[in-house]
Amino acid sequence: MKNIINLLPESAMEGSRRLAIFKGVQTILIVVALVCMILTIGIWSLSLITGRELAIENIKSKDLEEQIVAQSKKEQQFYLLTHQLDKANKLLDSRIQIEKKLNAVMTAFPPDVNLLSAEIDAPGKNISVKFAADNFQKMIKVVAAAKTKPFSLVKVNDFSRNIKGEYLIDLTVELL
Amino acid sequence: MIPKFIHSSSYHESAKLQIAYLPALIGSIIFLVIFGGFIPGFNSWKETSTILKQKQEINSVLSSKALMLASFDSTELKTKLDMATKAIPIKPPYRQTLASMSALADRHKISVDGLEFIKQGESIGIRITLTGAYPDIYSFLQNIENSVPLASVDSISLNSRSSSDLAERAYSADLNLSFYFKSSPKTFGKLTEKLPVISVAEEKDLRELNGFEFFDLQFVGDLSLDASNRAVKLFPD
Repeated sequence: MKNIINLLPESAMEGSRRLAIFKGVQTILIVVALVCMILTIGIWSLSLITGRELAIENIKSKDLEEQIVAQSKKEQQFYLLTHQLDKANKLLDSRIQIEKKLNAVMTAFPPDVNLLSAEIDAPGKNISVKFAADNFQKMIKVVAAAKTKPFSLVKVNDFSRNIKGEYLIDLTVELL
Repeated sequence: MIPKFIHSSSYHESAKLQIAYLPALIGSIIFLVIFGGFIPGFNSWKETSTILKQKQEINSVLSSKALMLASFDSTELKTKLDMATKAIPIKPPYRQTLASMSALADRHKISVDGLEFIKQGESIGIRITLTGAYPDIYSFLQNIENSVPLASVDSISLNSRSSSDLAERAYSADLNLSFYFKSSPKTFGKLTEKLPVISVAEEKDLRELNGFEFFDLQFVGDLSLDASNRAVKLFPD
């Protein structure tokens, strides 16, 4: 009898409390297990759906690739077009129209002096010009023109007279 | 009393089993479900989702590419390409260059005294010596810069030959020109790569290039320059 008493809970109240705790823990565990199962089923279903979507996308991809391959000639032409256009664009944007500089030289200086030579580089600002004139006044006009817009006189390289008595001037001007 | 004691002992064992082993069993089930079902399932879903996302992105590119290609009018594309390759040829444009020079020199009544080709990267360098009146040389320059293949005049050296009126005055001009070309790309992009886009500026250039002059290769035959014949032999297109 003593043994039986030892095995039993200390009191009916305590026994009832332990039983409630146990049942609570058991319920929680069952709920957790159920939730885990539901989540597992859910994730596998989702995985299956995603897999199915992937299969559809693969078929779609294959179909699109076939469409593109069928138009490969157009694709190559378009690539080549953009490739050449890129270069043309850069060139058209960057090229300096030298004839504008040349025209400035030909029109800005007095028409009654003789332009002997002109050296123009497309990228540079400096222009080297040589003039000949039969009188000194015309030379003054040349220098004045070299100092007037669109030019700025950089330096007079040479000033001389030839055997004919003509005045010769060698100038470096900068196009503003 | 003895049977009663036995019954109580088995009841106690059953209770002990319920208390100790049932939670362990449920815990094991939870462990198994999580590690044997949920985690592999989640990983598999995550992996498939990533692949799906990548595939969707690729398909979006492919779809827009296919749509874009389908929208291109073959004739229009060919015309544009023709214009672009005339402006920037794929091969060094020796013959076209000579054709332009020859035709323009004839048009502006300029005599070509010398012509020299210089190979330089993605352009052909040409040193040309001309003689003519200034307005004709000026027009020649303007025309060169407004014709295809695209060219740029790098430098000019003008020397007077006589001292008459400006319009009549003869000049000798040494011009250094560059005619450009660009080799065809080695690859035309991956299948899954987006198509390049023609910018607004490039569209504008295409329209501008339509107004540029192109000299047919038949003009090469009319060239009287020895240098041109040498160039054709040296650099056959």
